[in-house]
Amino acid sequence: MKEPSPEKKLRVVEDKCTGCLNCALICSFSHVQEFNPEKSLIRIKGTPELLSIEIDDRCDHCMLCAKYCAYGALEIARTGS
Amino acid sequence: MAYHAYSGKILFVDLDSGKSAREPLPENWCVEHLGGFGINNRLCWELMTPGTPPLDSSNPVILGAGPLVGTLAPGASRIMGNTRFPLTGAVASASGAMGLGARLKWAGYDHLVIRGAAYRPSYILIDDSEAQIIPAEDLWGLDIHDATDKLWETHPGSSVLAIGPAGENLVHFSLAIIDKCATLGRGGLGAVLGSKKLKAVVVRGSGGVKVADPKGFLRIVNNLYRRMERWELKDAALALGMIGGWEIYLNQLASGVSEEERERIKEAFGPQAYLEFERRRISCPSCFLGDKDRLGWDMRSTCSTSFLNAAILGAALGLNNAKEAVLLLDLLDRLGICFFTYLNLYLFLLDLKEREITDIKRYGEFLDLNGLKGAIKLAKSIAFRKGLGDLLSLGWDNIIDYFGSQAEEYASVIRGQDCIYDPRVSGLGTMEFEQLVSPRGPTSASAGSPTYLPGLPREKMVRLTSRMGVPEDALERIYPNDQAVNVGRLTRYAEDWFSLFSSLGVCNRHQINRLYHVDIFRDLFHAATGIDLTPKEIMECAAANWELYRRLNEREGLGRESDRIPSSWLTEERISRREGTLMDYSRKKRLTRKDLMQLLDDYYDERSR
Repeated sequence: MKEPSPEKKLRVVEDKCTGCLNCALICSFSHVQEFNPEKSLIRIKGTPELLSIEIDDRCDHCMLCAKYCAYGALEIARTGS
Repeated sequence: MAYHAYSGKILFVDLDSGKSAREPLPENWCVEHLGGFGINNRLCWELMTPGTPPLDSSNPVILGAGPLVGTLAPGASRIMGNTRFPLTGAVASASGAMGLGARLKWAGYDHLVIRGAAYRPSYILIDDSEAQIIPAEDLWGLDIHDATDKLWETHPGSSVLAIGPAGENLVHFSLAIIDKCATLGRGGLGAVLGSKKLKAVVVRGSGGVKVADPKGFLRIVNNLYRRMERWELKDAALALGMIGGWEIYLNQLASGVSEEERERIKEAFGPQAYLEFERRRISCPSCFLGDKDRLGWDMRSTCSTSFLNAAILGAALGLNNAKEAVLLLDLLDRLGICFFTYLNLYLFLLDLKEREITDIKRYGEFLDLNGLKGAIKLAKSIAFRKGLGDLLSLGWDNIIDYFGSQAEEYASVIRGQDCIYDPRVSGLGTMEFEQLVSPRGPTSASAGSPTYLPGLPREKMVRLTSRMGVPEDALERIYPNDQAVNVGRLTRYAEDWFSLFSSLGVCNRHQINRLYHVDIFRDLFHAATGIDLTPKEIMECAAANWELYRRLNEREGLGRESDRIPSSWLTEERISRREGTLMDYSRKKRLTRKDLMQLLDDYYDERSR
């Protein structure tokens, strides 16, 4: 696992999350080569009505999750911005 | 063989004995049938006894998720549900989504076969390798949303397929709903589950899906995302979801109405109204579209199968505003009633009443067909089978028998199921025509093709059809000259294309469908499973799956002789608040019964090749 990037930070906007799990699917695929939200470092919890997004401390800020988020619930923020 | 993309197991749950068993997924079935729809059909072929009554405990319910389900392939979240349906008697395959298919895969199963009937209300809990049948007396009688919420409290992180009062009371057009948002089983899956005393199926899985060639798979998925990014209507689709295609629906909903009423419909139920109600978009796993909605008004909110469904109800029934439409759809979803059939029944009764065709006065107290209050009363009378609702609950054949042959002219019904598309309004494209020949009876999804967009130049039509894996020689027959499109012949390939999506587990809504090409599917299937088929071979599998679907129903006595052209298609009379003349898909040529008969011959000729 890579060291977290110091320049980039993940901005989370839970209200925009649609629950598609793309973030969790790409995260687990990237880290353990399987599509498995349980092994993802980003977790989408709750029900379709009320979703929450939790990010594991081990997240290395690779930002793949933001790349696959179509609705802007996960955005890349440059530190200091 | 090491299963890649497949979980490699079928779970059998026997409600009679309370036992479950796991069987390996036959390897040759993966190559012959691909998965999902195809393997469900094969299981039906192997397990079902022809003539089994739909509501008998021996009628199995088979759920299946294709090899791409549970991965990041765009739109790969489909679960297919097969059983013998009470509305039509067909051994049919329904398609649904939300999280059930993915969680079934993550729990370690490709297919779930439910047999027998519980002796008391129950639900099935699949939690990874554990499968249990749990008493559900406390859930029986609850609406679908309340039952699902209770199950989520007990089993967080699960996906829930549940039935409502309509299913419990064996309404023949009841359905099940997954995760409060996705319908499954128009035509009575709810009743089949109700007859088994099965309130819900709850699935949670902590496993994952591994693919044969991870790098290759991701490369193809990334290309699909780039295609999605380049789509000129992407922003509108993301912003408005299903209501993004509002203009197409508006033409259907406002057929034959005054300009003033058209404007009212547009304002009351269109995109502006949607944005007032939208609180959150809801997506199925791996889908960028977000075609389901959480809707809110006053201090309330609810999950919805789609605001578009509410808009269709509101416009067609002449409701006052979107709030009334959302309330009515919410009720139908909670009760577990198919909103299409409810809508068509309502309009059918309205036609009978306005024309004084038959004596329906005896049911007067149930026949307030003017506004939300009456619409709610009708829905509840169906779900709880009271008065006229009891008669209606048994479906179209029963209704027409009761009201008589004169009433039949006002029912657009084929094989016992009501039509969704009126070709007098939209023209006869493949989706309209396929209603005549679908083994399941009219459905909303199984025959999409370029005829969805009238006016395309031939060159573009041919290009879009080629992507569906249609062979060169067939293209010559489908497009014999610059002007003509043989919809009968094209429908065969539209069905095969749907069969491919449904066998692999991908949604074929047009927003998703447009991303794919047979070559992409071939590459994706190969990267996922390691099974090396050519595009031609993969389409042959899809066609064989559809052929098996047809044979399953021929075995039940529901072959070509069950095709029926509704008389309502051939009249210009205003029926179900719609009017028009039967035209070809481009709306340039008027069609007659003889033309339809020829198209049916062409369809069967193409299917036999």
